[in-house]
Amino acid sequence: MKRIILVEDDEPIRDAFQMIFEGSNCEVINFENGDKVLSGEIDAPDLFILDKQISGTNGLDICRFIKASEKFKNIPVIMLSANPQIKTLAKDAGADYAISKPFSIKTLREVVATYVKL
Amino acid sequence: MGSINIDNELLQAIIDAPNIGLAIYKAIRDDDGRITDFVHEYVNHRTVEALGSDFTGKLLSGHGPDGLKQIGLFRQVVETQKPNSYILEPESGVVFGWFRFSNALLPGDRLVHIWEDISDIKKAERETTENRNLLQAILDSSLYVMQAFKAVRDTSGKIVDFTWVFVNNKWKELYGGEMVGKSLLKENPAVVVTGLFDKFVHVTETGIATEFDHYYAHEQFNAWFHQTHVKLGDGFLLTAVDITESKKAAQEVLRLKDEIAQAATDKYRTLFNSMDEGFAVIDLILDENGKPVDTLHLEANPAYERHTGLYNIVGKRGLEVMPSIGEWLNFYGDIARTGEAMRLEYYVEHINRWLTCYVSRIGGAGSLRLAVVFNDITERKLAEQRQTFLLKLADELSRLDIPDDILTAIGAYVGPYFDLSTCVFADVDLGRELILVQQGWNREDVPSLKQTFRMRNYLTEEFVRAGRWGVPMIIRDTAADPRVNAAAYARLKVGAFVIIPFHQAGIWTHFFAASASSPRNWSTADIALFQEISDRVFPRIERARAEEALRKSEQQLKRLLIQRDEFIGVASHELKTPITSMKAYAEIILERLSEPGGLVQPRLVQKLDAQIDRVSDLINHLLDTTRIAEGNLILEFELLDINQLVSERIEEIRYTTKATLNLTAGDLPPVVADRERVGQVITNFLSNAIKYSPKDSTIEIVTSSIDDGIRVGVKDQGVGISKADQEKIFERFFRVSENDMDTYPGMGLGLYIVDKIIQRHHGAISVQSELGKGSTFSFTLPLKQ
Repeated sequence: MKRIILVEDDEPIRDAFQMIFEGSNCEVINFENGDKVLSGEIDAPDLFILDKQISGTNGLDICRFIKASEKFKNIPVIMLSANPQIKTLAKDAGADYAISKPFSIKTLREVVATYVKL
Repeated sequence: MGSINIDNELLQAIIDAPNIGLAIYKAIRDDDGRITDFVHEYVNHRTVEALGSDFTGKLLSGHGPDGLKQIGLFRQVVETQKPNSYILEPESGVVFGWFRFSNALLPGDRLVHIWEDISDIKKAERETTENRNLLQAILDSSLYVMQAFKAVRDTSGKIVDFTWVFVNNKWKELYGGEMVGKSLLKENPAVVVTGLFDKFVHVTETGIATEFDHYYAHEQFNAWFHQTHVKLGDGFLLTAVDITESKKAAQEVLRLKDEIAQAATDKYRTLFNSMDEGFAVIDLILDENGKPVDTLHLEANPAYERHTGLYNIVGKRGLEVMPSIGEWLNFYGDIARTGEAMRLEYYVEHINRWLTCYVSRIGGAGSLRLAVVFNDITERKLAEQRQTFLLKLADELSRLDIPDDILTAIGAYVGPYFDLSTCVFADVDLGRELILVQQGWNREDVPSLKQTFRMRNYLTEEFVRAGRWGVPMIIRDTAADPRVNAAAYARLKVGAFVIIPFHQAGIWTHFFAASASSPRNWSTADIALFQEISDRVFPRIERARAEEALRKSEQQLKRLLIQRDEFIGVASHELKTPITSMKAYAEIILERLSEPGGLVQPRLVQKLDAQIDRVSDLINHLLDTTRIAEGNLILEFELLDINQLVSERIEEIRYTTKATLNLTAGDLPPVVADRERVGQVITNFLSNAIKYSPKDSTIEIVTSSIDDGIRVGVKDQGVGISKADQEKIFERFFRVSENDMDTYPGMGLGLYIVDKIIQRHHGAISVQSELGKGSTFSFTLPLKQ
């Protein structure tokens, strides 16, 4: 079972993610904000999916933290945002990929599969 | 006469001694006894000498014509027996000159012939005659009247009369008649009464020449004569010349001279007294060391007194009337010493005038007399100051942009300049009859006038009318002038004021007011300058206010635009969040319903998903538009295969439409471009073509290589676009036609965005279209960015 950590402050989206990966070999672990990631108290997942605009710390900063931490630096990060410039912003923050909101679940599954080697 | 014995030798000696010729001739008679010739019986030494040879024994006829002439004269003596004497000028050529000949009969038919050379006498006689003629000619030709008189004396030798001995032609010409020999007293008895007779006697007796002008009042003439009297023998020569004309001329000249002098003096006086320049003549007084210590006023005209304020100064010492003259003494001293005129310009405080003083020396070196000319140049000075003031004012006006700043600066400049207590720039509200003073300046000891006044409390109806007509209101003493409310102005500490109304479009909108805390006699120049200030300041203020208002509205507009874009940005971002989950839910539903045995037709959910996509696209367009407006459209360039990108986008859209999409792919080089953004352009072209075409029409997509780039064209069989609209379709929020709004939904952002995207790629978008015949949209991209 692959573990995906999703940091997203919008509950319906977190809910949709649960449904999208239901029945797959991925487990989505939801966080409302980046506190747990930043505290380092979680186990390293196979993939991070971070919303850019979340309350508290900005998703891009969480990404930078991940890419700078010994514990998480080799784990792929996918940025998620409604901002059309997300590709550029994500790249600058060291993310591996970026998906614009809204997205098609087909695309999401393909991208996730690429990074978690399902 | 006694007689002596004389022997021959002695006789011979006597005869030969003098320079007298002597010869003895004997007559020769013919047979009838007539004398035919004479023979030289004896000639003396002088005669031999004169003739050059001894003629003794020779005939007289041998002497030629002279001899023949002598024969007749000799014969006369012999025949009449009487001696004769004559003077001849011999023609012989042997002797020259004049000779006197004397012949006497001698016994024996003989005669003695004695001759002497009188050439010298003759010559002297001739010269005397010639001289006399010359003298007469000279005297006659003289313009002077000449008369010579001889004294007539009584027995005791006293002169009792004169007789004329000579008058010249001039006299004769003038008075006629022969006067010589006539008695002066008989001819002209008046000479006694006029005293001339005594003068004539005096010159005759003393020999002292006299000369004078004398006026003769005759019956025939009244004339002036200049006459001289010179002693001449026992009488005198009187020469006289009529000088009546020159006398008259001289008198006329004298008269004219007096007249001119009088006129000149009068003119000088008139000028002196009436000229604006103060003019004075002063003498400089020096001490024993030659240092100027005082002045003495010799002359001064009224203007001088006016300019200097020193009255009745003539004859007075400078120090006496103006103790401060000390400062001037060295200035005067320099001019007197060097003779170099100098000008001095200075301000006299107690009369508030500017004067120039021009001082020059009268007379040559050493003269201590000076001409002092004062000129009042106050007007010129004021004009200069006014000019300077206005320049400064213009400078202040141009330096500042903000109305309040301008007015504050102008007030602070104008107030002290005119020694005002306040000066304000007021707004006039005629409708509410209010005066609003927002800007102005006041001296520290008087209250500020920055407040709102009820017009009627301060201005009478007459003044309000004046304001409406644009006429300045001038009050010299608020306490005494019945036209103002003394108490109201006293509270404001306004003792005198000037209000200059300013009109805009014929309406009294502003005024400039200058006031003094005590009564002030405003000058015409002050008021003119106030008018100038008003004329210059208010238009500037109005302009500045308009500019400020414009600036504010521009800023506001900009702010509104920013707010709008921010709102669009936030709104679309916020909209996206629920749409994200909606779309995810829809797709999950679709997946589950597609599973075998599903209850709901998947088609409906597909429609839901498509509508969500549409909302999503609209939001993206809004966001893109905002980015473009903010200049935040960021491109991510990579090397692209455009044919591949076009194919992908065609495939993506193909399943949403019934239209046929045909791609004719040319051989293209790779280009540097943003995959997402160029893909967005392609999709936009495709979806527009589908949207504006019949459902089952064919859409041709052509890619081709062009110079330095590639070209993608999308040709539809749709409604087409009018020429007029073709120019506008790339504008933000432009939609082809209002009538089509319902038929073709959209916000009019798509082409605006794709145009910007292609522009950012340095490519170009173009459209070819005809109404009803479809359109071809194409874009080009360069190979490199």
